Amino acid sequence: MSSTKIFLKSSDDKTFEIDETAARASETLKNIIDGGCLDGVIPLPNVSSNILPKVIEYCKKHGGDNGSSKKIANGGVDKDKEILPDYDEEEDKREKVRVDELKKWEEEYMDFDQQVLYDLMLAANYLHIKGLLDLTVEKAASMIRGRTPDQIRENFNINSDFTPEEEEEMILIEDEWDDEWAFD
Amino acid sequence: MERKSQDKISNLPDSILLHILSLLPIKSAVATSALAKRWRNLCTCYLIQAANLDFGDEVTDNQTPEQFVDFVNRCLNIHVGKQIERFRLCFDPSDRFRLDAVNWIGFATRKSVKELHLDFCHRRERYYIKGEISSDERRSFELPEFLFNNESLTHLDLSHCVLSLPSIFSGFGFLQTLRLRDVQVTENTLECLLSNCPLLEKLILRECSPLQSIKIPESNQQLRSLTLCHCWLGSEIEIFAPNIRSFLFWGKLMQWFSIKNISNLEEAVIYLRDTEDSRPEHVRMRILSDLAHVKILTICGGALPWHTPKDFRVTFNNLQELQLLADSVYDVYSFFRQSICPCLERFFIRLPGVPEDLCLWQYLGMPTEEPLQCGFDHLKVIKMCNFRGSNVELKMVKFFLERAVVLESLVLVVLQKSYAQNGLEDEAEDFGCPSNSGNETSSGLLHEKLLLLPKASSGAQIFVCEGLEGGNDVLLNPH
Repeated sequence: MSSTKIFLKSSDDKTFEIDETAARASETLKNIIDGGCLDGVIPLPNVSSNILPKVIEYCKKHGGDNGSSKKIANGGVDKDKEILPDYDEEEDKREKVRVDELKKWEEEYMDFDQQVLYDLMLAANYLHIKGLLDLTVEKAASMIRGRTPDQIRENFNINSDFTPEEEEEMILIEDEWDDEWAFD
Repeated sequence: MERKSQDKISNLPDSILLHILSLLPIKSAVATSALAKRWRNLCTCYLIQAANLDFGDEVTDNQTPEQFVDFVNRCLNIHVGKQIERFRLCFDPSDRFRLDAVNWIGFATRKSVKELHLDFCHRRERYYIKGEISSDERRSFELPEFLFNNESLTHLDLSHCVLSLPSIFSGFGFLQTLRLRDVQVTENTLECLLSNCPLLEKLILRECSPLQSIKIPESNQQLRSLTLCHCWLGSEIEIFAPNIRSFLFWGKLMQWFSIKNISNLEEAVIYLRDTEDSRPEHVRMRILSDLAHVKILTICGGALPWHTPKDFRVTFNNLQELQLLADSVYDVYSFFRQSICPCLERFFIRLPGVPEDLCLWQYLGMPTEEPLQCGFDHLKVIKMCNFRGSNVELKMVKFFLERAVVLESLVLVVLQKSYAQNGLEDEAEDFGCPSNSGNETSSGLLHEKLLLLPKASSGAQIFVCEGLEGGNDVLLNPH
């Protein structure tokens, strides 16, 4: 394992250290590294020092392995297991333990408030960390799933920018589409 | 918390918001269009291209069939995407909306859907409760033949309908998962379907009661997971699946399977619903011997033979984890009397959770003595759910503690108060303690008693915790 260190500079000019292997969890950082554009410190003008350590924590766990969280989402090892003639049982066992452990880690990792969720989604999107993006987007989706527009608005503090006429019109459309929304 | 008044989510870029929408059922996605202008525009953008069209439970709740049909038709009409990945429908079309349902399946098929979930029963159950529609007025939904010409399918999940194949069926070349629940299908049709799915990995048959026999043909070389649940199979079941790794059987069984080759089986769950004596002993003995090479086994008490020839012993050479869903403490003894498990590391048991009626078991002829030769050289973890602290249960704990030389932990999940109290108070009486002792005293008593038991492994720790009845973490619920 390479232990080359890489330095990341947050939008508020704070520098953080990360192993190259961990940094490769980010498609963006990987391209910078492979492209040979590495020049001491990589500036990340879109990521603040509040959220960067959280991102680095994720990368450390998933260094060089973008697919692992997807694997979990699909229901553990089984689905991606290949049948090979020289199928390695021990390896399979270790993999199972690893996936279980990772699941637990993710659960703890994802315990934070909405503000962190937005910042993390933006950072994952900007740095192209697919696993982290999937994880955070799913969390956001779970906060919308099965809720009425009013509940969603309240949950996320969304202010309607429809004019009163539009609101009126929309209620009519809604009624037409699906009566029950008005009564939910 | 600190900046709660700000609307942060609406400031996220389109790509992220579209990503969020793609994970929602259609109804929830449509609900967001009422939030604000930006959301309305995004939602329209999303709906016309959506790759995941989920008209599932959330859509059908509290809607009239007319509203639902209208909703689906509108969504499908504005859709311009060339392909969809997933289409899910949960709806009872009754006679009136049969044509609509056929059209929707046609839509999904035209867009080369890969994952198709069709459940045609949702409302029927609800109407039954209200008594609005009686069963004999209804006829099950017949799947249109063109569904079987869709070669792009990888997942097919059908519930509550009639399946018949077209006269020319070229097969599902890419199908990996097939799940049929309460589907009316004949033995021949199923066999024909299965032999034309060369890549099938997972097969789940649930409540397909018309099936009398099931034949898993040799051509399903990729099949790795087989689940048969409440199929009430009358007769023969033939399994030829050399690569099968997991097998789950849940339900009633009169005959055991004709198993030709399951040498790669690693995990088996056998849960038989009927405990009556109608099943001959030799069938139960076959169950044990056929599964002798698995690594993980979940089995219920009803599947264990009681009276076996003296020399009947099955050696589970690979067994590392055993879950026993016991009707009685004595099931544990039965299992270890008939089986040798040299590698067993983890043993989970769900106890019946009600007072054992020793007389009943004796009346039924169940042997109650402990097995004589029994070693647990690798057993590290034991977990018992629904533990009541009765004498027979404590005796069993003693049985394990005396034999498990490398035991690390014993976890006892005691039934929640009302049950636990009764159980432990019975126990208190047995020991000559006053019966009005409170719950705390009782659990204290249990602790004391446990600490007094001799342990073969000096490092073994005993944990007692309170849990709900049932012990759901032990009981595997199939889908």
